[in-house]
Amino acid sequence: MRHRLLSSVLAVTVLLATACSSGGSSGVAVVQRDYGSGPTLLVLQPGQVRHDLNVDFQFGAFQVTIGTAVYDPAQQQLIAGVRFRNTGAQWNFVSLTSTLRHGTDAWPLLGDTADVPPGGATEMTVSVGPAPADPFTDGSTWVWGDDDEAQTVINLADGTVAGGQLPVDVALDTWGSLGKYAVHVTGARVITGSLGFNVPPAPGERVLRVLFDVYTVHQDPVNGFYPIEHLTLTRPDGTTVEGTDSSDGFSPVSWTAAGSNWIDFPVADSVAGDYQLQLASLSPMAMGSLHPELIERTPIALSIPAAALGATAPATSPEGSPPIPDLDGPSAPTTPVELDLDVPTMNVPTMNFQPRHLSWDPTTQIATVTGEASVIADPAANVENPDLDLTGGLLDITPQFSFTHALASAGRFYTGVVNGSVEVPPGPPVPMTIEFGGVTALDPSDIGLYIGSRDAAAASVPLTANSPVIAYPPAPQVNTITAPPVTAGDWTVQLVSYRVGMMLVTPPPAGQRQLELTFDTTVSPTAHVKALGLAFHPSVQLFFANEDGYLGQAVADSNLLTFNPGETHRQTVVFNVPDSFVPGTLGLVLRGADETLDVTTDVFVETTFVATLNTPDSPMKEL
Amino acid sequence: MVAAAAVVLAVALAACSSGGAAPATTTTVTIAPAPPTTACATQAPPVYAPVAGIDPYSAIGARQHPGPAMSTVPLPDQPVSIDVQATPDPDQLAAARQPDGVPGTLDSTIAPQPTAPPETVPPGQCWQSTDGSDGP
Repeated sequence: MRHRLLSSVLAVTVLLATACSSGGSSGVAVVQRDYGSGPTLLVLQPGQVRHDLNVDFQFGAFQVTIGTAVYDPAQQQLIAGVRFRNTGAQWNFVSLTSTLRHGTDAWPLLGDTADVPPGGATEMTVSVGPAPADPFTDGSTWVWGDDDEAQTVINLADGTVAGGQLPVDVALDTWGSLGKYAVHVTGARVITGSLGFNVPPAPGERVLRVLFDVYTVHQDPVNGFYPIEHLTLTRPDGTTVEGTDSSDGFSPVSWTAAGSNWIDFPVADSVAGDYQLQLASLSPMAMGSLHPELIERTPIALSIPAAALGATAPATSPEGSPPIPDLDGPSAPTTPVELDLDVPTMNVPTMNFQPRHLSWDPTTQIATVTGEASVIADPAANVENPDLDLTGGLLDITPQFSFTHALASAGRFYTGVVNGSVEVPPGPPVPMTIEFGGVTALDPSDIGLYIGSRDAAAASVPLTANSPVIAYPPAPQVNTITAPPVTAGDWTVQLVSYRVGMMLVTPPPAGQRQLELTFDTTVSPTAHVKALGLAFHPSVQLFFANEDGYLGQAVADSNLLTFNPGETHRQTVVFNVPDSFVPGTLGLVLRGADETLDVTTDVFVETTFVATLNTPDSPMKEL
Repeated sequence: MVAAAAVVLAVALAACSSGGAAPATTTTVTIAPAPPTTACATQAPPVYAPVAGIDPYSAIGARQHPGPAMSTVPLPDQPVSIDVQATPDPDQLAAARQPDGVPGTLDSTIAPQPTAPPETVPPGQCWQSTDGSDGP
């Protein structure tokens, strides 16, 4: 579960073509993903028996594909090639909680683990034994999961699979409204496991992930909307359960709509039936805990069809060829690798990293990537922001290159750490060295690099030609905006420029990036200075204009600034946008009042306008 | 920073605190000297729940009611300004709920803001409501 104290990010998916408020949000991360690159050649020794199992199933956060298995009677071992694709929205470790079972005997699966970024796939060779007879011929089963979990059981004789059904999407379009919130359920996904916790469900259960948008009629700056606190699920048997995991909570202002929300509930593995999502009038936490008997709820009907049961399907081509085992084991140390790199810049939260050189010492089994890290800077913006003044002050913290790193080669993932200082002061790039230990084998033609925050999609780049790793995301570039000066109340805003990338310390959810708008704000010379001063707060005064007339709220800004009448200051605001975001025509709304500061505001002026985000190919690209 | 300030302010509105800010939505509010000790502790805690039968979306003004019948709102060619009416806060409407759970009426719950400036509350004293509401 995302803890409310740790989460203040409002996931807003707003784009002209895919406004969050019009049912366009999926709530399921769509992340870049590679396709693994394990061994491709299988040469059997005398006596070894090949079995092409080729099954797919869900195990925790991973989609597991078992390709070819080989029984070696001499070693009494069953050896298999297995691919683990992380389908969660955060980095997850591969779990090998699995046993080969025959009668009352059980042998644990042996293999490595790996820390895999969202969308990444690692291929492993696993083994189990001793097996005195070929498990494919003696009625053995291959069981994934502990006995206190819902298990996936593979009958090796015929290749049938029980449990571990792959996710099934269910189309839904229902509404509910209570108090200041209205919830639009846009769909659901039935999952055999918890993606967030990377565990199988309890026995007899599955996970129902409900996807929804939230409309807010009146600001909620104190409590905010937290899916776990505002939503419960009444199941077909009449029992009501709380959510086990959800998207982040947020603090909306009036007339906003927030998409890409989701919440997980445990449900019976029979799945189909009539459910009721219960929307609470307020959170039972905090203030609501004082009088929980006064909390009201309204049901939102969800009908889950039998088709949502899903079926375990054999591995198919979209996930790449079925994996095969490496029967020779890690190759003996060969020659060291020294490679100068000419690859795209990687954009990690608030920083860029430019890989320059890779080396591998087969003796120490250490691979090293060196490069330069730099804080993303926009000299043209010259934004006034006291909180981001990194040059002084007791509370100033030098930006840290503190991320999770993985080197991928030949389907294997190796975890790395920074060797040396992680501080990256604003200014020129600083050298950065990442060391990866336990690198038993490295294919010089197939090396990729992942760097990212644990709870978000990773930046990735192929370091050499045959790597299946995808370059993601592009490094942010400053481009101009064409827009008229726009006035609402005392405030006039002139948009200047924009960037798209991982702009904030808090990264967006997997499948999204961040759009930063830079603009000049001018307050009227005749503006009346209130008791708290004249202040413009971008994240609650400049919004996306959604298709349905509601507003998409920003996730961050360059901070509230106080103005004297007639003054102009430069500011920024940041929105989360889907990876599919394409710069173009953008609808925006300027609000004349900051209702979070002036809680007595009952009327505010809003001005809706259109801005054009230019690209380098646009006629007006000069800053 | 501002969010935190808003939280502090809202909490101040919700809780009875000495020398605190004015309540946001109560009906008739009078300022009376509080008993010399522990006056705040005797007041009922604030209750935040929407009042049954009051739909904040009924006064939706310039925007369409969220629901399946929503239509697309085209973007204007030129900037267009409108005055947007803030709806009554359903949570603060709940402040009018009587101790027995009977909701207040809409008329009484969205009365104008009290005109007395908050600064007139002497330090160490508290707001008191004459209508049984939860107070600030």
